[in-house]
Amino acid sequence: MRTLLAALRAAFYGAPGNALRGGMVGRARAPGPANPGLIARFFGLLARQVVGQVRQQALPAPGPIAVPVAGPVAGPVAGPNPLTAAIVSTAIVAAAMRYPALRRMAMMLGLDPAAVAPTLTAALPGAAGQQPAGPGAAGPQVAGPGAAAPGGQQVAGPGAAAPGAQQAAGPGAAGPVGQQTAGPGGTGGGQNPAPTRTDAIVPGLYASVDPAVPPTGWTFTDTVMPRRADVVSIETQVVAPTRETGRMVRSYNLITGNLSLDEAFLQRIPGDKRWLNISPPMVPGRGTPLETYMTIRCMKLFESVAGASFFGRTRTVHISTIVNRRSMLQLGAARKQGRSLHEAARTCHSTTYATNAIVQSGGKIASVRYSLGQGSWLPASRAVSDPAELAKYGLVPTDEVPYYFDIDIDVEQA
Amino acid sequence: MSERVGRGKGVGMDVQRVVVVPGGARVTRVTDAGVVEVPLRVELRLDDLAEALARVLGATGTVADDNAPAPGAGTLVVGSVDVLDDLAGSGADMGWVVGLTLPRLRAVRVTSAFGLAAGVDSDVMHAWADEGGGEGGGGGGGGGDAIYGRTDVRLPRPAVVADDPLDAFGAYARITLPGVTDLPTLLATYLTATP
Repeated sequence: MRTLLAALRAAFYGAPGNALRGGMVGRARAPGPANPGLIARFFGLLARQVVGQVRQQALPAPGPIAVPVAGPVAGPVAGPNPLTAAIVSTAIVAAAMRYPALRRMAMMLGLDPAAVAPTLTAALPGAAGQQPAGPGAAGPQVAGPGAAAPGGQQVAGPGAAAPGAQQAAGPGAAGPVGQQTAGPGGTGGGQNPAPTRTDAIVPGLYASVDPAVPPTGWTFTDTVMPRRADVVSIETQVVAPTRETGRMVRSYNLITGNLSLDEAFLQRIPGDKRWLNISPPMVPGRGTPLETYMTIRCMKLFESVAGASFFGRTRTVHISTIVNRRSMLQLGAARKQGRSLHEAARTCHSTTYATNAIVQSGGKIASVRYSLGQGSWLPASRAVSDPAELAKYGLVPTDEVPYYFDIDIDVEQA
Repeated sequence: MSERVGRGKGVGMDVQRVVVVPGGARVTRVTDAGVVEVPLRVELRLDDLAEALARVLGATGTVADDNAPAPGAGTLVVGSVDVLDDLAGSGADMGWVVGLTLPRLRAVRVTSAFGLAAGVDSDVMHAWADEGGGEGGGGGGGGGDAIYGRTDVRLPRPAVVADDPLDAFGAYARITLPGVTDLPTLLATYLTATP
C-alpha cells in the first residue's frame, strides 16, 4: 500500500528531490512556477492563450516599453488604450502582490506581476524612462563607446556619458546603473549599432526561462552541491550548439536569501554566439545574453531546490572575488581621482554586467558597496601590461588597482 | 608566473591505494532531448581517474560511493569539496587528500585552508573528463592541466609556479609542468616528488 501511494505521489508530483522533473500535476514541495506538471502545463497553456488575447487588447504593445535605446529615445508609447492598460495593470499588480498564491499563478501564466509594473508606468502619460535625456537628465540612453557585451567582450573606447549623468572614469564607461549603454564599443559596432543591453524589464522574460527546457541546441549540466553552512551552490556547465563550453557558479544563502555570483567563465564561447534566441528577447533584434539567461536559469533552480524567491524581492547580490580587468581599472582610476569607490563600483563593468539579471528579475539597484574582501591593491602593471591601455583610464603602471575584491548590490523591488 | 625547478622538501608520498569519493553532488543534464540525471561518478569519469592515477602511482584504485576511508598510511583519498568538509570535520590527515572540482577563483585558497596534498580546479577536472585531458584549464585562463600544491616541493622537472594573487596563496600555488598534459600524470609527478 505504501509503495502504491509513493508511486502515485511520484506520478502526480514527481520524484522527491528532482528539481527539474515534475509529475503530472507539478513538482513535490517546490515553490515557484518553474516546473508545472503535464496537467498544469495544459491548463497553463490554455489560460495563457486566453490571457494573451485579453492582454493584447488591454495593454500597450510590449515593443515600445522595453526600449533598447542605442540612439534616439523612442517616442511616446503607442498603446491602444493607456487608461485601460493602467487599470488592468494596477489590478493585476495589486492582487498578485497581496496574495502569494495569485502571484505564483500569474507568473505561471506568463504574467509576472512586477513585470507588469513597468507596463503600467510606461503607459502613463509622461512616464519616466520615456523622456528624452537632456542636460542633467538621467535619460535612458547613454550611447557611448565601450559598451558592455556578454562575457566581457568589450572594446574599450573613450568614455561617454550623458550630461549630468554619473560617469565612470576612463574608457568603457557605463552609464548610471539603471540606464543603458550601447555603442561602437559593443559587439554590434557600426553606423547603426545594435544595443547590447537594456535596463528596462522585459515582461515575461523571467517567467519564460525554464531550467528544464534549453534553447535549441544548447546543453546545460547542473551540479547542485551539497549544502555547506546554509549555502547552496550550483555549478552549470554550458555547451553551445557549436560545441564551445563555458562554466558558471552561483550560490544562494538560505538564511539571508542573498544570491552570490561566484564565477562565470564563458569567454570560450564566441561573443556573437553568446546571444540566445529566446522569446521574449531581452534586447529585440539581438536576443538575450547567455550570462543573463544562465543567471536567471540558476535563480529558477534555487527556487526549486532551495525554496528561494527572487522575482521582485528585496535582496542582496554579492559579486565575489572580482578579477575582471575592466572593473579593476575603473576602480583604480576612481581611487586615483579621489572618487568614492562605492560610487565607482556602481558603474563598473562587473555591476553593469550583473544588472541584467537583477532588472529582469523584477529588481532595481538601491545601493552598491565595494569591499576589498580577501583581495589587495596591486600595481596596475600587473593587471595590464600595455601602458596605452592604462592611459585610457588615466592610469600609469605604478598606480594601484584592486584585485580579487567584492561588490554587494542591494536590490529592491522595481 | 615564474619558471623554476622546485626545491625544498618534497611530498614524497608512497601511495598504495587511491580511493576516489564522489560525494553528494547531484548532476542533471538538460538537452533538447530532455532532462537526465547523471551520477557524478559518470559525469567526471571518476572510475577512469581512479584507475589512471593508481596506474601511474603503482597503487590500487577504487571509487567509493559511500563514506571516505581514513586518509593516510598509504591511502590517498580524492574527493570534492563536500568530501573535504566531512574529512576535515572528522580530524583526518588532510595531507593525504586531493581536492577535486575546486572553484577556480578559490582553488588555491581552499587547497591551502584544508592543507591538502593537492587540489584540482573545476575547469581542469571538467576538461579532463570531457576531452581526456590536454586542453584543460582554459576557463580560468589556465592554459593546460594544472594542479594546486605546495611551492616548496622539489619537482623532478621544470615547473611553472604561479605567483599572482589569484593563484598563489600562502605556501600553495597553481603548478603546471610544461609537457605534462595528462592530469593523473601531473598529480602523480607532484605527489611522488622526492624530498
